[in-house]
Amino acid sequence: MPSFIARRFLYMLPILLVVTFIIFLLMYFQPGNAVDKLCGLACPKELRAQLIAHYGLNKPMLVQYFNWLKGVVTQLDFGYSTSYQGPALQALLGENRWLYTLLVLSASMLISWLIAVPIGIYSATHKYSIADHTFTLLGFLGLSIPNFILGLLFLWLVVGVFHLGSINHFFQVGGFLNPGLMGKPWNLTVVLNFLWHFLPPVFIIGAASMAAIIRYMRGSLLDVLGMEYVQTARAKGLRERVVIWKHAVRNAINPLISMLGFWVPYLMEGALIIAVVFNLPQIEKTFIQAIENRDNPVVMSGLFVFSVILLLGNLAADILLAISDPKIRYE
Amino acid sequence: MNETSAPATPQSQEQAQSPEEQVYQPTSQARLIWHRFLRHKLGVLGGVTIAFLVLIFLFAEFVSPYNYHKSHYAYPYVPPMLGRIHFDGLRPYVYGLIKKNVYVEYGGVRNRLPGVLRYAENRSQKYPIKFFVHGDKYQLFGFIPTDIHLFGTGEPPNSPGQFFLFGTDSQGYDIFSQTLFGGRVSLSIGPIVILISFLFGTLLGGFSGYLGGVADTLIQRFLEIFMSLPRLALLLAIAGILAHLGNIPAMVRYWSIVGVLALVNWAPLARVIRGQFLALRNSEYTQAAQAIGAGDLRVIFRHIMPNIMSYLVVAATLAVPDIIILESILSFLGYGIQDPLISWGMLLHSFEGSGFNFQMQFHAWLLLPAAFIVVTVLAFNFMGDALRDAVDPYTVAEVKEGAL
Repeated sequence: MPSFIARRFLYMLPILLVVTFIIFLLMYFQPGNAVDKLCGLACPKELRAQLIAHYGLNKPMLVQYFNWLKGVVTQLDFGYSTSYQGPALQALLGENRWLYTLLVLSASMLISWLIAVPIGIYSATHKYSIADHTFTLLGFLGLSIPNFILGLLFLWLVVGVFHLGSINHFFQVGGFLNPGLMGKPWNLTVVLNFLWHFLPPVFIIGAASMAAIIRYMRGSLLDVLGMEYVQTARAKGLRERVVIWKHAVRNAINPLISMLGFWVPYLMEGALIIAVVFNLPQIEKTFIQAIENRDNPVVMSGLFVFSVILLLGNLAADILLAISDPKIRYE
Repeated sequence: MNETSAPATPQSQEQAQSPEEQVYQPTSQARLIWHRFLRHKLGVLGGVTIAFLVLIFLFAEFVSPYNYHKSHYAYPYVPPMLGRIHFDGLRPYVYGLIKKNVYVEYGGVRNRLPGVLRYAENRSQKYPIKFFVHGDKYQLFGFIPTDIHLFGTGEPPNSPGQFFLFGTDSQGYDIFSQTLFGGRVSLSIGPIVILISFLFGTLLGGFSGYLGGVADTLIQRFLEIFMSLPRLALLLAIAGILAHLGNIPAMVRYWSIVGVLALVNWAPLARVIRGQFLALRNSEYTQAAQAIGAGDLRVIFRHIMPNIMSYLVVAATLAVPDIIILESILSFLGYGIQDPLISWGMLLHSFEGSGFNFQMQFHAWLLLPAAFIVVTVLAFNFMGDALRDAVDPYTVAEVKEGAL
């Protein structure tokens, strides 16, 4: 197993190398350069030439790329962020933003599985009941309503319809905490307020994958329940609960795990757009702001970090699959 | 969907042989698919919805009561007048609008709430809603000059007798008219992007699957790299660069958005197509065609393509909603379509950023275009699901997941 993980991990490196090249190309071919930004439009010609030479912007493209790559590999140096007045990666990840992003991503994945798998099992074991039809319909809606609209809808309900924020200041929206509670030590109110701000985005981000998991879990379990070994288990007098959970579910869940890697990108896209809608202080929010401000080093480091998260997510999915599915040999 | 594929399927042979069916002509594959599709109520509903939307968006100038780009400065933030239609027998009419400021008392002082207006009805003025009414001039399909609109009050823009079905925005633009014109962009961009992605996907995926070997491996690694890029973030970064290029014509912007969307979307489609090619490359009829000396191109276009056409159509239909959503996200964030073109996502732009609280509280009707996004996406999903079942009820279930 460790050798499988190591090989799979090493396999990521060439992909990541090409990704850095694509990111570099994107910024290289962009009109205007860092010197224009530093020196302004009324820049004297000699100073401009001097600055360009100083930053090596007159060198061939590949040389520039390798210089940049050297900085990235040796010291994670993506350049200097003009709008944050500091190293780009620091600007992107700083102030616990990386923690929030990680928290939101993992929580939405966890919650969608914790809720969707039991619902899928219930739907399969109570096929064509009213609850099953309701869940199927809800699942279809969850898959079809884009999550930024789901987010807007939630905000509209809270702010425009029920006016929760004006009834009780506790129920303000946007950010991870009410402005008044920021920087206070953790107590019950702060924790509850954090959950009020944290859970709705997490549910909304997870909605699409939740719907998909319900659908696949139901289908997969229905397939398995028709198998002969389930019939055998029932025939030898096992309790229904044991038949379902021990014999059927454990086999039905495998195909879902293989799709885990497929859902990671969607989860990240959801987190990106929801961070904007809910004004959440995550990496994604800084990334969007950097695009707005043309802060290229931050945009580049953002693309790189997202690629790394994506690749690590796929890696985790592969490892989980290797653990859960005996058919996959990893020697 | 092609008739040449009919002999290859067992269904048509069975039908021709079974005694009840012998009174009928042998049915073509396309017709079989069509009949199976019609059995799906929701799929048909989705198809009809899309057809209806396409129709009203084609005639947007005629259906919309106003020129979507004409501002009614005197009437900003009018709430939807859907509930303010009164009936005189069967004849609908609206009352004239009276604009009122909103005041709040805070600490004993009465202050105007800035940016918020209230509209009352002036019961003494009745404005009948007429059909086929003369209004703003326009050119239908760009060359038939006329000024007839499906409905409206036919009053000049500063008259209180206006009919804003979905209300107006901060500049007094009619949201209903804007939604109709926005539909043109939002609905057209999906199919166009998918068409382009498919051309690329078929070319690369097809060659990859058909040739196999080193070419296949190389192309697959290439696709893998493409798919390990964060799609939306990359899209935003590129669109951000385009947005900062300065003033480019709106149509250039439209086509550049199309290009960018196609660029980040073709790789998964290429994978699906490659899988199909791989499966059919070793089929008997492909081998037979090769045995009688058919060239690669002939095998691809005459033998393999017709057989995967139906799969492609299904995969395409199911991929359209994704593009519509991506475009609306881009426009919502302000990196998509630009003035004078308009899209649904762009209409939601006022809810982006810290102003959303205010907008939600006082101008929630500006969210109405979002309903159109949801309906369109649902319609495409319903239709795609029904098509998938219709094309092949047994084996196509994996088409959407084929990108795995």
